[in-house]
Order: sequence, then C-alpha cells, then structure tokens
Amino acid sequence: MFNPEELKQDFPILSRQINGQSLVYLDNAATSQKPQVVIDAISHYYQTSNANVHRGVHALSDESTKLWETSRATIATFFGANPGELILTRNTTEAINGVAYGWADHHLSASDVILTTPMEHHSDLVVWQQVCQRTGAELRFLEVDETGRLKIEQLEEIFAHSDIKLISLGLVSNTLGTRNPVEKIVKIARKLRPEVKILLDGAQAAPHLPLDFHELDCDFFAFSGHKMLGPMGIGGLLVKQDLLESKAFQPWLFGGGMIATVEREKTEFAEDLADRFTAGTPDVASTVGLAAACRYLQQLGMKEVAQHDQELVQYALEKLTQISEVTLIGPVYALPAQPLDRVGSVAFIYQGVHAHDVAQILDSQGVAVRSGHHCTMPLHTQFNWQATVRASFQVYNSQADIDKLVAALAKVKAVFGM
Amino acid sequence: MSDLYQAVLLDELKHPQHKQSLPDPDSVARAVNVSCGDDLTVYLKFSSDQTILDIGWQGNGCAIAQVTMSLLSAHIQGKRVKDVMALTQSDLENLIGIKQISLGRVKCLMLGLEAVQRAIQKTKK
Repeated sequence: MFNPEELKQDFPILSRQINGQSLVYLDNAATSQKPQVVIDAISHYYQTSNANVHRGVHALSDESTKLWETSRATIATFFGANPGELILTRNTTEAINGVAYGWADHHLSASDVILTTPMEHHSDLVVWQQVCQRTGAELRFLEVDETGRLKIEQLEEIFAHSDIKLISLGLVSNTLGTRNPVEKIVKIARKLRPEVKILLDGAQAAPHLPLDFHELDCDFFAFSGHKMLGPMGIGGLLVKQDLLESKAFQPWLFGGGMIATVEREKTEFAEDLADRFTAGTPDVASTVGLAAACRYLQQLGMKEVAQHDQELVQYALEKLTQISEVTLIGPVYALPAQPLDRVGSVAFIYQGVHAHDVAQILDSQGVAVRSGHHCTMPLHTQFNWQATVRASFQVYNSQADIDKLVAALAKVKAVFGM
Repeated sequence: MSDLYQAVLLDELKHPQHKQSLPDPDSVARAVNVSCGDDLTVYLKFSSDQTILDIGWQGNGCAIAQVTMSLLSAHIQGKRVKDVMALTQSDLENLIGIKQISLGRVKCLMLGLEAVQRAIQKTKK
C-alpha cells in the first residue's frame, strides 16, 4: 500500500503555500493535480517529438504517430477496452455529447424514453434535454431517496410503462458521492429490454475505482483525463466494438483524418475505428500526458487506490459527524451487509453559514474545497439545499489532510461567533 | 480574509439594515447568483425629485452578499437615482472596506446592486 504523504512529493503544486499555509488540496472532484511524470511527458513530447500524426512520412511524424497510438492503447487498456473502442474527446461532457450526436439523434424519436437520474451532473442532463428537444423523445428519472441513493426497486416498474431506449447515469455522483449500483441496473435493463443502450458517466469513478469496460457491460463509458491525474483537455468515450462496427454509432465530427476517400459531393469515412472518430489534428501531447497518468495509477494499483479512497471517505465521515453544525449529504452509513457505497468525496452543509463563506474561511487556512451547487442544480432544488461544501480526495490526500479540514472548520465557528 | 470577515461585517450580518419588504413599492426586482443560489429581492420607493425615498430587501445569500446589500441599502437611501445607477464594484468595495475582492466573490458583492439597478431600470420602461 502506498503512502500518500510520500506521493505528495510527486506533485510539485502541492508544495505551494496558500495564504501563508501549506496547501491542503481537497477539490479533486473538480480537477486533480498532476504528477511530475505527466508534466514531463507533455513537455518531453513538445521538446523531442512534436509533429502532426498520420500525414507525414518524415521521422518526427512517424514518432508522433507511434506515441499517439501507444498512448491510446495505454488509456484503452487502463479501462479494459480495445484501443479501437476508445474515442478521444476533450472531456466527459464532450464524450456524452458524442453519444447524443453519434447515436441518439439517429435512433430516437417521439414516444422513446431516455432514463436518467436527478443526481446527474449537468453534463449528463442538459445534453439529454437537448436531444429530447431535437427528437421528441421524453426524459424520465429514476428517483433518489433521502439517503442519496437511487430507488432501484422502481426500475422494473418504470420499464413496464416506458419505451426506454437509452439509460444514462453516473457511476459515482459528484455531489452525493454515491456509488450507484450500475451493475444491477445494467442487469435488469439487459433482461427486460436487451436492445436498450446504456451510457455510464465515469468522470468521478475513473480516478478512484478499478474499472473494466467489458465487465461493466455498458454500451458507452465517458471519462475525463484531468480528474485522474492527467492534463486538462483530454478525455474519452468508450463505445462497444459491435456498435462501432455495425455503424449504429456514427461520427459526429467531420473533416480531415476521419476519411477514406473524398469526392466533390460525398465522402467515405475511414474503416479504421480510431481514424473514423478522429476528425482534425488530435491533441497528441495531452494524450501522451493522460497515458502517463494511467501508468502512474497502474503502478499504485487501482485496487489500492480504491482502498485508500475508502479509508479517506470513512475517516472524513467519522470526523465530520462529530461536528454538530455539519449536516452531511449523501450516504453516510452502509446498507446492511454491504460496503459503504460512497466514493471520492464528502459534501455537507454548515448550519447557519453559507457554503461560500465556509469555503472562503477554509481557504484562509490553506484548505481548498468547492462550494456551490457542483453542477447538480436539480438535486439541490429537490432537497432544498442552497449550496453545499464538498471535500474530495485523491491518492495524495491523507488523514492528516482531513484533520486540517476539521481544524479549519473550527475557524468557521470562531469567525461567525457561533 | 481577515478583512473579509472582520467583526463589523459580521455584526452587520447579524443586524442587517432595511431587511424587510416595503408595502406598496414603486418597483421590485430580484437578482440571483446561479452559482450558489444566492437570491435577493429589492423593493424601492422613489420621491418626485428622482431620489430613493425608501428601500427594503429580502432573501438569502452568503455573508458578502447580505452585508453588501445591507450597507448598500443604508448608503442609497436619499441618494439620487442617477448616482445609484453610476455605482461600481470599487464603490461597493469601499463601502464594505475590502480591497480587491477575489474573482470568485465578485458576483456575491455585486448581487444587491444588480437588484437595485434592475429595479430602477424597470421604472424607466
């Protein structure tokens, strides 16, 4: 098992002082910090290998192409997918939009239903609202209970009354931290309607859990590189091979690189799957950087990463429940005979003090957290939370960081004279 | 930060000025900060000589939004509408005694003024 305090040495930014205090970075669900190996991989690429891929015969272009392809393979393998199943995007949002334009727009029409949940990040909600406007399909919700868990017992009933064509939900909620029972949902969906398509938003799961795209048995899986120690501006969409080969899933960006032959009036798209979905010059440097991040996580071991996260979540919940002004949101206690279904973050309301004021005072103590609605406005509206404070974790966070968070929260009480 | 939550501001937060709705206002406007759910509603009464006769406000928000709203209310009562429309971010920073508020809090600072100016604009239409 790795030592998080030692890992801090790998992340140059973590040695910064903020407001005269050592930085305690607990805003990882928004974006993670980057280890030196990722920063080096990007700058090394530009220093030694930069050239456009595919379209050159010279040595640098060849080198760049090889780097791009091996990096793609590293990223795909990290998720248990074939390299051909990986479409590189800027981030999760762009990946989900890809499913909207590449699949939903071609296959959905009035009377079809898209099923999602009220705990989705706006990136997995607004996109479907737009698809519904374009296609006439209807958006329905698998509801969330008071503990922040999906009412999965209602799923069969919803299936009985709706022509569900697509299910789209997050594997882990960015606000509640809930680790949704997607395996059960996929199983029920496949049994009741084998042709239903399933998209998992993996943005908050990818940094913390060992994942296997084929075992998850979803059709689409979206993720962001920057939340898993990689650079900003690179993420991906995994699409099941048969959907790609049957051409049920189609390119949604058109132009150079994704073609086989182009005539004046029409174009044949490339047969090679990686090419067909890569229109224009790809971000090779960021791809190389993300591959370096995947290797870094693999060296730590994703099982160990997941265990470390569980220890932090449990410790944070234990400490925060002892503060009487703090009301936690999302799962706090495990369901009977099950491990706690919470991953990556703890969010809370501090009684009597606005979340922004809490975050500001924590910042004065060097503790970086996020405050606001975390891009889940419907969830906040449903439970009548004006704004919440969220502390979220990464491999370099330790129990000492959570102790500093708790100590900084005492300052909130002191300042507001409660 | 010590600036931001100095005792006087917190005192203002606990005893906000003009925090009530006005009966029979000449104009009402609301401003919302979508990023944090802050929500202020301003009630104005005008005199015939284009000054603010009375102001009231209600709503929720962080300390910065509420304290600024409170101090702004006291500040603009009796002021000419034209001068209130000309108020800027730096005027509000002076009002609450904060130099160069952080980028993430500018919207909190400006929310009350936004509602006030919106209420004034409404009457001009």
